[in-house]
Amino acid sequence: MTELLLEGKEITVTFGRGAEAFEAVRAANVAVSGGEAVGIVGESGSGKTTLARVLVGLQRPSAGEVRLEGERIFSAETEQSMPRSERWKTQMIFQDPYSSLNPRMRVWQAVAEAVQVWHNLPKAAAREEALRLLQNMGISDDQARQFPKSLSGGQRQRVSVARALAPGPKVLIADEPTSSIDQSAQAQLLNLLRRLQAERGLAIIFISHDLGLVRYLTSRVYVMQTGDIVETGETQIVMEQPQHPYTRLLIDSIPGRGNGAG
Amino acid sequence: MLPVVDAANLSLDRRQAVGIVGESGSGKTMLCRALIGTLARHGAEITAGTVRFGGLDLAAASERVWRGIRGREIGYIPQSSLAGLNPVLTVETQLVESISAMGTLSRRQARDKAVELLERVRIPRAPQVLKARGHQLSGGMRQRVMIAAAIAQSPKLLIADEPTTALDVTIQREILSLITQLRHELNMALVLVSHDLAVIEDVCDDVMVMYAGASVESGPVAALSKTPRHPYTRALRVSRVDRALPGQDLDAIPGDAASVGSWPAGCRFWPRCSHADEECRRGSQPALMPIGRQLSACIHAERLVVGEQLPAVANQEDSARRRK
Ligand SMILES: Nc1ncnc2c1ncn2[C@@H]1O[C@H](COP(=O)(O)OP(=O)(O)OP(=O)(O)O)[C@@H](O)[C@H]1O
Ligand SMILES: Nc1ncnc2c1ncn2[C@@H]1O[C@H](COP(=O)(O)OP(=O)(O)O)[C@@H](O)[C@H]1O
Ligand SMILES: [Mg+2]
Ligand SMILES: [Mg+2]
Repeated sequence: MTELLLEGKEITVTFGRGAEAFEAVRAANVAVSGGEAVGIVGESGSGKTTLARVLVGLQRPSAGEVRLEGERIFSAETEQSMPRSERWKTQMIFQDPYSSLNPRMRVWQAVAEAVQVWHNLPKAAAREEALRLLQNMGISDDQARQFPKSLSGGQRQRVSVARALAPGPKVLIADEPTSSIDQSAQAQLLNLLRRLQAERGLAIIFISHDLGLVRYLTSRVYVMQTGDIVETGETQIVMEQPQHPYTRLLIDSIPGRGNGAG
Repeated sequence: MLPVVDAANLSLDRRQAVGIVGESGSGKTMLCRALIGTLARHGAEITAGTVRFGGLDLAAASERVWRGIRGREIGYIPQSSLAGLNPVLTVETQLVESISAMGTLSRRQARDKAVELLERVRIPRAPQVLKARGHQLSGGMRQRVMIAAAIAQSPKLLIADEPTTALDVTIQREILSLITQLRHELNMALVLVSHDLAVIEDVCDDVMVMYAGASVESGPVAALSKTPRHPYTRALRVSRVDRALPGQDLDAIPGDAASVGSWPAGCRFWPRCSHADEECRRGSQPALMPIGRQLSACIHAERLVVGEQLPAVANQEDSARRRK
């Protein structure tokens, strides 16, 4: 039995104040063990990204706590942000390839920065490592020297993956990581994630609106709707016998089911 | 200056819907920008080839000519358009901008027109939504507003670059059926870019496949999905997750994506192709040639699919579900 690596307990996130306040995430419990891949699915606006941002320490919860390797590292009560020593262990691939890269930094610099910050390498070594990570994601040295604006959507998304993997994290939260890449590049990324999972015991939280991907990659899944986790269980069982009406709707909306828009 | 697209061919009739799929970085977005006359804004230009629209040749058209075409004759929903809606401005401010391009309207008229447009894209409580700011809308609503802006002047052609990428499946389906309905209501032709073949199969009549700046295959959607005549199209289909079991490696195309500036000689796909031989490595990117109801740029298209018809994925899945 592998032990729990990352845990979010009773996470609530409230945006706004007074009459305008609304809960984007409500008392959510999620957990992932070393070498495990879990999925989070749900419609847009259901709170998936907000929950992920709490887990990596980018968003303080209004209630609840985040635990890593059994230690509480971030909570509604703590004054500080997530400690630096813990932060590198959980990395995130961001959903939006258009806003997640600094437009004034060359592509290789964005990745080298992540390498350097976490591993304290000298600049030249960090650059080498960055170029290697980018190469692995199919970004040539030529493209690595560009600014993000001259990269296509899919190329930016692959840069975001390289940057997340740079510090050698223990947990990877992938927020719709394949939404902008073609199916073959998607297959490459999924193969890579599965290899890291098997070889390095990487824990993966895979957020996607593509149930086919979630079924393929994950063993457990959480279904979110308007801030609540409405269903959770083994992925295969949830897909075959969805209990919640919303889960059934999601499964029926997969394109190519012959009941499409055409 | 480097060529980023140099052998793209796309044609469509009035009211036809054509999908574009392809590798990321293959030039789909640049091709769309060429068709809407915005290349210059991205530091690029058309250096060869033609763009015909109706009787006009637009490849060398001046900005003045384009102003009469853009929005009016050809509508455009750019990739990342969800990020394109300004989060702090109201929907009204942003919509009225596309409407005022239609000529001199009073504020009142422009507002009425904006409400009408929101209703046309099936946004409930349109007058309230008009007052909302971008960040207050869900992804699906924002995309509806972007569509409303693109069709404000009833264009004859709508170009939508990955309009549903950032949306979840339930919303994706609503948006695709909205686009399809609008297409019929307005008698519009459609160019739809997507990296998801299943989406294109649902919505389009024809499809064009791009790899490394070139069109490598095109034809009716059904024909391409049943008997792909280019190894890249074939690879796209076999790499789909719904064809693999959990725990199995997916069939990704081996090797690296082709990058601009270092395209190989001969067919650009050969370094990653299991069918490649000496002939494939010679000369330049092969032209599209007719084969059956399709066009393919593979010189071995004839022998490519003998005896290996791919099952339709949708049917396979449906029958798997029915068995349960
Ligand atoms: N403004 C720009 N300046 C220089 N090169 C660019 C620019 N925009 C795109 N490119 C390059 O042109 C090529 C084609 O890019 P394009 O955005 O058309 O790809 P795409 O097929 O739309 O990919 P995706 O599916 O990832 O969106 C890429 O190699 C990209 O790096
Ligand atoms: N910084 C923010 N300020 C206010 N509201 C926000 C903020 N970030 C997200 N929200 C809102 O929280 C809800 C959940 O959003 P999000 O977590 O992005 O959902 P998902 O990733 O599931 O699409 C949405 O209604 C969204 O508009
Ligand atoms: Mg999200
Ligand atoms: Mg693009």
